Amino acid sequence: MVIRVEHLVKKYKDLTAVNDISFKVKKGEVFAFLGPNGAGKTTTVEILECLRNPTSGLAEVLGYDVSDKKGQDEIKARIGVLPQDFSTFDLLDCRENLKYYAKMYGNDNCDIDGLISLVALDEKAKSRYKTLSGGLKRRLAIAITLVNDPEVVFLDEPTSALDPKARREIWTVIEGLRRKGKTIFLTTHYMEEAQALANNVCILDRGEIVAEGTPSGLISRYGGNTNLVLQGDPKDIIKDLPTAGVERLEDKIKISLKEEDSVRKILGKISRSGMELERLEITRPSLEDVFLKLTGKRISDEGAVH
Amino acid sequence: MVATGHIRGWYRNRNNIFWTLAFPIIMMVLFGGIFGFFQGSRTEVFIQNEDVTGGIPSDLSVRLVSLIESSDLVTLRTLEGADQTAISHIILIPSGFEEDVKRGRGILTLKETGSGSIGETLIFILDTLNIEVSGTPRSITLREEALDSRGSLNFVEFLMPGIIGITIMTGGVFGAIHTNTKYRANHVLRKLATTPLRKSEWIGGMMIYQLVLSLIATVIIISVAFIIFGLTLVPHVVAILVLISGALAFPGIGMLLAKFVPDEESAEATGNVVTFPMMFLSGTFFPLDVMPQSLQVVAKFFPLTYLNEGLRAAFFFGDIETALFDAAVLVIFGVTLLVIGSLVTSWREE
Ligand SMILES: Nc1ncnc2c1ncn2[C@@H]1O[C@H](COP(=O)(O)OP(=O)(O)O)[C@@H](O)[C@H]1O
Ligand SMILES: [Mg+2]
Repeated sequence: MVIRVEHLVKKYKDLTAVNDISFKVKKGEVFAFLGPNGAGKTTTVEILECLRNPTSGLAEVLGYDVSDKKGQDEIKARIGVLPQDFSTFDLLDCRENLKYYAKMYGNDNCDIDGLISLVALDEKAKSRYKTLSGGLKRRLAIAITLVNDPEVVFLDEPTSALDPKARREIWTVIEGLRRKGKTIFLTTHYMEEAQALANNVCILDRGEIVAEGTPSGLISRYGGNTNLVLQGDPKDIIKDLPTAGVERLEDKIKISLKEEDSVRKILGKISRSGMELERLEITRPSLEDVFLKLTGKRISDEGAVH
Repeated sequence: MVATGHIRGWYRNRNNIFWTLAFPIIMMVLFGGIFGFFQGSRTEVFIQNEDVTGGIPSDLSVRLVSLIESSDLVTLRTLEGADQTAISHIILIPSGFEEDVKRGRGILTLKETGSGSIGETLIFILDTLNIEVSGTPRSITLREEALDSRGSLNFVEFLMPGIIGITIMTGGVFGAIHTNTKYRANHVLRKLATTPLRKSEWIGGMMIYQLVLSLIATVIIISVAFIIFGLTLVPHVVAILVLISGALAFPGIGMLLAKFVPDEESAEATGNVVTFPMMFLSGTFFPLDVMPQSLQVVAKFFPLTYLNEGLRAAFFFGDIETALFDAAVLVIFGVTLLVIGSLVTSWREE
């Protein structure tokens, strides 16, 4: 067990930002904290990083209590942190920036070039931070979190405000870290990100964990059925289809499927009925549906709920 | 080392180069040029004639003065009622001078500050006088003394330490404002708080960084003063101590401002409010004693006053005692503020 949190509470005056949450993070996994802005993600991570004091409850990282002074020193030496909205020294280049932070750990033998390759910045090694694009800046920032070869890496919204392409490149980097055996604590408000990367997800809303599990587990539990959407003249086939979960929407029919193998049966029926199929779409539920189902809300690209 | 990365970042920023190096040089050249011009280019020499009996100066002393005057090499002034701050050369004609010369052993005293000696000129004039009076070349000898009273600097000499002083002050105050607001906003400080680095080590690194900048600026300002105004000086080693104390004195101010003013821009505006009065009231461009008494009292509370005074003491007067006192005031002031500053600035979020 790398992280253990039990009944953690954090209050800011009369605002309860984190309200009695408990979870565990296993060694070598990507653990995602998924939730909209203000859910309490940063508050929780920063408690784990020994940057904020918990109001009550227990938080342990690598077996050390975050409230214990000695424990804090041990934790700091063995974790790597990417703060939310972090940016580093504009006028230093990639190598110099990495060296700067390596010195903070007294690590003179840090494999700077190795880190640069790990985040695929080889060609930009001598470019100053301020000349890099948003995606490259973020990759350097992730490399910076690794200068002390940490066992646990905390990434607080590592892809927010990036374009989709840059975001996917960051995902590749995070995948690489997992393969190197790092335990990764990721916060995000992007559903696909948690779905693509995480072994385990905690969905957080207004300081409370509303669901926890593997992405596929959460989806099968809360996401609803796979839908088959047909477009074309439905003729009479509706009668022949399994009665539960068929919906007519203008020129479309949405069929909510119970089991995967019924897809073939339905398609067989459709072709036998002679229906002109203009379009056929299979939509699987995602974490978005899970979140919608659990909270009644959606999260926008900027992380706001609506 | 925390400092090296920052020094590298510093010299890559054109703004920094301008404000810490070019700006002080421009100030010095501008002010030095303007006031140096009004002051006249010829050396001013003050005559202190004590060879007077019954209110009448001796013939020989009158002759000497007229010789010096007609040499047209220097401008003569009388000491009575002179502005004490502008005196750099005094010729003292002792009482009984004429009698002594007649006996073949007259001694004339030349008191000078370090720069631009008129000794050579004077010896040349004395040779003429010697031959004229007695035919023997050596009945008048010249004794040279260092003039180390306060306020005996010419304008550029007075100005140069002041320029170094304000450069160190602005560098320290604004440097600290910048590091504290910028690195707070981009979460560098939060990142550092997750590393084993102690806040005291970070502050120490910043101090070393300030000190290196101060020393570079000092060397450049002294060099420019030499190249443009021909000002030569051999600073006493305590000058280094004064510079170190100066670099230590000001960042605490910036740190506290950055703490209580949220963003970089308003913190810089507040920085100007704090540094501007100090710049003019701490004896940078003109001596304290030309100011009204009340402002002189105010100046006593400004650290820049002590930095300027300490630098002048160490650069020109070899006045170690004053320099050490000023350095001590600066260190106590600076360290107190830094300690308060680091206690109230937290890297942690509550
Ligand atoms: N230092 C603080 N003081 C007061 N309130 C805070 C502080 N930090 C966060 N909050 C509040 O706590 C809640 C959770 O914030 P945060 O942990 O930053 O959420 P997230 O990272 O999920 O966006 C928000 O309502 C936020 O306004
Ligand atoms: Mg956050």
